Amino acid sequence: MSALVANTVREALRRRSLQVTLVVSALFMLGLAALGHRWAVTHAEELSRFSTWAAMRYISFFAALLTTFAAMGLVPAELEGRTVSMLITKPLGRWQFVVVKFLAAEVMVAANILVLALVTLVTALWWRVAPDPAVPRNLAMLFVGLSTLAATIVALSVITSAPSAAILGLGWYGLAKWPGVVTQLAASSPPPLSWLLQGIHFLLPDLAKLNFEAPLFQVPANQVREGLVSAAVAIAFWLAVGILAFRRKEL
Amino acid sequence: MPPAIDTQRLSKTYRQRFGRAIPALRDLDLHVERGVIFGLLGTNGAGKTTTVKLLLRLCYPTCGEAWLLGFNFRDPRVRRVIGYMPERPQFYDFLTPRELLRLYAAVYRMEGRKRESAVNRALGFAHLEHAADRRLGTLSRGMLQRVGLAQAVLADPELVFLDEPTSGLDPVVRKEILDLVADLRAQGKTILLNSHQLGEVEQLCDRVGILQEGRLVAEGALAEILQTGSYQVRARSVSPPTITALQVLGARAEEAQGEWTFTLPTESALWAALDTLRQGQARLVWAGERRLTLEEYFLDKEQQA
Repeated sequence: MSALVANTVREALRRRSLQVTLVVSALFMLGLAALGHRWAVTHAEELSRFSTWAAMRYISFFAALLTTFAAMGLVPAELEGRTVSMLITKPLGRWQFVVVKFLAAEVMVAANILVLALVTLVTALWWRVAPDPAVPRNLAMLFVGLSTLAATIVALSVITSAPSAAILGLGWYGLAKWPGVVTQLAASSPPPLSWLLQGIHFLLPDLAKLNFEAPLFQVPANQVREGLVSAAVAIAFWLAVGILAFRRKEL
Repeated sequence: MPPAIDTQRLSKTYRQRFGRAIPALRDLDLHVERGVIFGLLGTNGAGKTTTVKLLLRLCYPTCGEAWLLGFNFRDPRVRRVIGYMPERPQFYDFLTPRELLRLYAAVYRMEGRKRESAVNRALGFAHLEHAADRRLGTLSRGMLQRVGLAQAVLADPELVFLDEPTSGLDPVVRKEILDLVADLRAQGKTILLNSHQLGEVEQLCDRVGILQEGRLVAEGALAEILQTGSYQVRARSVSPPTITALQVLGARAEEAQGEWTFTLPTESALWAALDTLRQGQARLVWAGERRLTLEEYFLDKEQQA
């Protein structure tokens, strides 16, 4: 499977949309860093806190975009290019095909986070501030969070078109990051809609507990564990959806 | 030993969005022995590609069962002993043929020397050594067909499915591909060949089946189905008294561009006709058992439908 994962990553990296998004993200982050340096408060401690807060927000925003771009085309590219029939007629199970695509997306998520983290490090060196020691842990949490996004988009792209999978996947991820929006809506809606929203809330992974955008706030360890379990369940759920859908798909 | 392909009432009906059913294959009972080239013929939409896709589990039957080399077609072990080349094989155009075959070898879990040996054997079989390290995106259609054939035989399969392998190729490349298919037969492989090219099917296949609107309407050994049970003699410079004498023997006479064709009901009538022609000092062109061409047979079946 590793050969297929490597081939999928190689294929995806050739896509212009991914390359352009990565470069634009890096340039945007450097640009904001330059502006921040000009206007930021002068105390070293405040500067450090501000830089860490800003970096995690930028990374999580751009990495989510990059994950979407990376994951949305993996399955459709094989279906539209009809390369899938050459693979599926060989000793490769349909479930393995979906898992390969998810693992390839994971490799790209990790690579994107790494690139953006390097840009952040450059920014920190530029600002002459020490990076917050909580950042690596939060990058790991971000990886877990984005893994749920990648699994969602890969699974949805088996069922629907790549753009629809991207939009639905991002919507799902957004709700999982801010589940309070759903609970508030459910509380203020009449019964049939409120039941539906409560159902959606029940299915959402609680990514807010991973707290990857705010390393300055401490989240109790048990809540982080709950967040990790809920993300793992979400990944398994979406992979199962993708595998079941692909097993039924006629090529 | 179980047959290479055995199907029982294999059927496929495609359903459109608003419930309209389109039957693509109906109750196919196909039996292909090992070591033969079986030609599956039919017009567009007759069900040839659907048959191959069903057997390869690229799509699923509405009902019916199939066995490939003794394995039920749902059994994942089947995929280790079959090869498939679609009509227009599509590859990752950023890879070279060697890289592509290495990738597929990895899918077969071949490693190290075994993998390299299989890759080199497949490249050698398809005469691709000189293009092995060029990007697939830069190769011609004919070369890509050869890559398609190379990947189909990579794991030394016992059964190979070839779906229109020469479609859209120029005569030179077509001959090269047909020679490679003949090489596969020489290696004892069983081949299911889907084709519109009746000439090449007649040249290569041992047995044929004709599909019409999803039904198998004829099936048999090529040598048998093309037999007519009658005999023919063709000659030039045939005098009118000789023609009359041949008609007395029961011959049906036809003339085209100075050449006479006499169709006779029995072998003894053929020998008598040859004597008559010799005595009448006619110039003999050809004599023998009358066989249909596959095209004549196919068109006849189409007209019957």
